Amino acid sequence: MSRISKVSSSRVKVALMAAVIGTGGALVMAGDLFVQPERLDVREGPGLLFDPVESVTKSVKLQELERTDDGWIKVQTPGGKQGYVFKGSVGDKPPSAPGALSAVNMTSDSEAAQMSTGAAAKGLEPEAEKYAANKNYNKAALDKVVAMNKSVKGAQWMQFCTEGQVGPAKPKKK
Amino acid sequence: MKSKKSSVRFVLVSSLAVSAALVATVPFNMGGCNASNLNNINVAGMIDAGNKLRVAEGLNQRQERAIGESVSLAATNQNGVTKDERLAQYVVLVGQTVASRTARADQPWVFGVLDTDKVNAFSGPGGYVWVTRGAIEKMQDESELAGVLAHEIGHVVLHHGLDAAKKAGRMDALTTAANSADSRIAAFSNLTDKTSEVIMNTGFSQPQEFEADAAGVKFVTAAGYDPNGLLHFLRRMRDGQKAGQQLFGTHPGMDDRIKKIRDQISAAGTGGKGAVLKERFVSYTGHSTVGSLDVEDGQ
Repeated sequence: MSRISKVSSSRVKVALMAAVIGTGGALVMAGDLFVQPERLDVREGPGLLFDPVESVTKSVKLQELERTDDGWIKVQTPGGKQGYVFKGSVGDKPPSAPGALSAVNMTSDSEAAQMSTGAAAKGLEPEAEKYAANKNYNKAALDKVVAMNKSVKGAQWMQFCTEGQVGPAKPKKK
Repeated sequence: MKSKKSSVRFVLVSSLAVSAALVATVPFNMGGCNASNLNNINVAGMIDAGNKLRVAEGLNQRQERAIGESVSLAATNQNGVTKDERLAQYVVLVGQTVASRTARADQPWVFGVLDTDKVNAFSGPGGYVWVTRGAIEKMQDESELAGVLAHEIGHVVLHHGLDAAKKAGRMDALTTAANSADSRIAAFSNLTDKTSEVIMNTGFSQPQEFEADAAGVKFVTAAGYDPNGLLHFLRRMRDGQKAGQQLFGTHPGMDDRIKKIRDQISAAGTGGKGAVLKERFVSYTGHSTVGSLDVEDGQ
């Protein structure tokens, strides 16, 4: 074995050891990301309008494949599926145990975002439901708008962006 | 979209929230923004300040969203929503394009068109953004629509609606488990009514409007649109006011907003760059020059 390869090998070992120490014993490779919220949808494209390809749970390790310039990260799940997650929903370390936030009935932003996404799929939040009932408000118009928003899918949005060269299809700076 | 004559007549408008902020009555000072120097504006810092405000109030995003939903219930019951599904879908597509360039890209957004001649746009906590048919009829291209939506997205990202709610009532009443369910509901209803009044009628404070303008210009530029769109729309509205048309009600803040936006765009060197998309706007909205007060290049 040449000296160069020995040095490289040593550096790799040192790096691996540092990674292990830094994560409390779990082996973390460069490019590993950990799910921070209780549940996270891995989406088929870089945007909220894309359908989930798989839902993963807190602390699951994802392999980073590439990053977009607008905050979305292409990852591979342990099950081998590839998709996108937003940068704020993953970290380079496993999430810590429940702490002060949960003690005061608070959730992290990324966790609340996932909860909110789920709630939005089910309908209005309970407080809003009661508000509508108290005010004798008709929910039909708002329901119609929410349904319209849900009907717009990622592929349609990407085509719209591509045609207009906006959003993710915005021309790169030269 | 129908191109009603009534929309060309610059109908009386009692409230206007694109310029809602124009009616600056709410005293306010959120940390992080020096409104006199928006070229160096720290949007990330303002967002962080907004997040801290939410956490300080003990609300999670679900509860913030509940307030936004309730404000939206009030808005849709007072105005109705457009029956033009193509227009509604267009606003969703443009809104999502701008929202995708924000730090809130992974959270739900709802974009809707209120069926009224009034010229207005506003947003509620939790990602609800509304623009009126009357406002769209005053626009001339997609960059203007994107600019107006970006301004409202700015209010959401900066948690201005939550700040309005904070001023409207004691939010601890919503989260204190010791309170009875009835008292929490009553507190929520009272708070939402007052928040809706600020968002839809009274308007945010002028510093908040400056902040939302600055954030909006950044978002719309990041989305690839010409940031002059918002500037053109506001100038058209301002000129309409000066011509005696009762669009927004005169407000001295309009000139200040226009100047700050113009300076921000000029400093960034992004004016005139990016997509305008007039033809696409016409194809979706069915009009091109309604409300055609031409925009001069000067202020």
